[in-house]
Amino acid sequence: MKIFSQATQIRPVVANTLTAIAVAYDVGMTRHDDRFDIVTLVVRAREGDIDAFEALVDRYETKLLRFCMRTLGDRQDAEDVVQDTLVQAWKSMSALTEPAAFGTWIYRLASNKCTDLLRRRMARPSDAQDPDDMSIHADGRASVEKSVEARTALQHFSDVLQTLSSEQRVTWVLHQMEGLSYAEVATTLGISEGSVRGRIHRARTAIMEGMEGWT
Amino acid sequence: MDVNEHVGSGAEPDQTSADSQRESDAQLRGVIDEYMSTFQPEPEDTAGVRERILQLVRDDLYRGPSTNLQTEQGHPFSISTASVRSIVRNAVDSVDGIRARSVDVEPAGDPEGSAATVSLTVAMRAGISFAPTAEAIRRSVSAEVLAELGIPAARIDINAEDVYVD
Amino acid sequence: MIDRGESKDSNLLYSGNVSVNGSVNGNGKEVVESARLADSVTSIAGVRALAPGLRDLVATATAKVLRRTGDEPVGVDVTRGGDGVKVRIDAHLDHTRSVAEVVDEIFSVIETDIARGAVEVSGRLDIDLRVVSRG
Repeated sequence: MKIFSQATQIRPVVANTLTAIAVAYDVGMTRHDDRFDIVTLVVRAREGDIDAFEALVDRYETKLLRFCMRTLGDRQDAEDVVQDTLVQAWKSMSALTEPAAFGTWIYRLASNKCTDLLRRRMARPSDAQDPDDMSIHADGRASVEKSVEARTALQHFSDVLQTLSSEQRVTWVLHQMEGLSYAEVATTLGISEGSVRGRIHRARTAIMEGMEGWT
Repeated sequence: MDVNEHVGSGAEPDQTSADSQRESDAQLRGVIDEYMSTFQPEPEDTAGVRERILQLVRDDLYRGPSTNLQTEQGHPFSISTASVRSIVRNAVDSVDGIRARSVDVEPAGDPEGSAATVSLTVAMRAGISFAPTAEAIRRSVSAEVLAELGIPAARIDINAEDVYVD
Repeated sequence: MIDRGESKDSNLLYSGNVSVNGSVNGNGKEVVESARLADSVTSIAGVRALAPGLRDLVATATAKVLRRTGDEPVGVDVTRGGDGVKVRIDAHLDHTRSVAEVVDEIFSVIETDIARGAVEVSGRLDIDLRVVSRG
């Protein structure tokens, strides 16, 4: 298995910011043995080094999966998106001109796939079911009422999220749940900071209105 | 002074909306945290996805480009370029303080393919002296290519492009 | 003279790992020859496995369509063209020997098999060997 090491940053400021995104929520994924830096891993992976690519998968898979789960609200869909994203990354890694920006790039690929999937879902409203709906119909009246009450705020929030446009939803999750700043979200999605602000504002308004009385 | 006094007496509109935004975020925080904790990937989830990804990647690799070489006995063959690069990378990585990055192996010699030209870039650990290390890399690559591939490396170009700190 | 498993009828199903399907590209003889060479090559030290030959992918697909049993992929493709015979092999090697050493032995084994008559060669012999992986 390959090992990695922090490279000293002899890089322009922009790349530092981009690399910082990957580091910001590397919680729980850090191994304290020797590690190859991202640039080395990416350069090797795009030349066919499967071990290097495996190391990249190890670094990003869990975070991506969590992000996609939160954005899509569905485990299976999230797994499919993450699988497609990482395989696409392997196949098109030569398109990544700045290896240090791998983290941002991979998030962009995943975000785009999430957006596409959400759009397709919204075009077919009957598919937009929360499978957790099933468990609300539990046996035992008292427990049904209790579980309905206890779950409702969360369930309602989930419903409200589904009313957001796919762009608003992805943008909002990146900022609010993944903890990216407006600038980082803008870089990840390849849009202006102004657009990010606009989407977040509209998402926030919709969520506040939708959650009125529930919190 | 009480913050609310500022609000009542025409404080900056930006400040007010920023305050109220923070407040509404805080109210929602509980629900958001609960939502977030609902979606935690289980190790089985990640393991399954990982296996499928690596299998697809391996299949893709098998269809990748090839390098045409020739044994000393004159038998021509092609070999996946990824395999050749891997041999060189291992040789480079085995040199202390050096990490292989980009590797290029081209058929050379006469007849073409009876030898190989190797060009590579590396990252060096801070403090390493380049000239003697480059020699070590050359020796390592030369020996490994001959031993593992069975083809001599006619030329080995090395470019140090980055420095790392352990 | 009856050889183990051999028959003049190219449409019979052989015991062992050959599926003779006359409707696939080429004829039964080439499939038998492919199987023999594959057996020889896979027993070479340093050869981990052979990738499915093209014919096998087609044969397997055809077998599925015709609902016959598919068989083990042979891993060697013997084809006859205008001027001779082409032997195509995709091999997965391991680390135990140098690639050149294994390549030389593969060639040697095939040439021996040809000398023994396992493959009928008139005209040129072209051995197209690809090392798919090494690990």
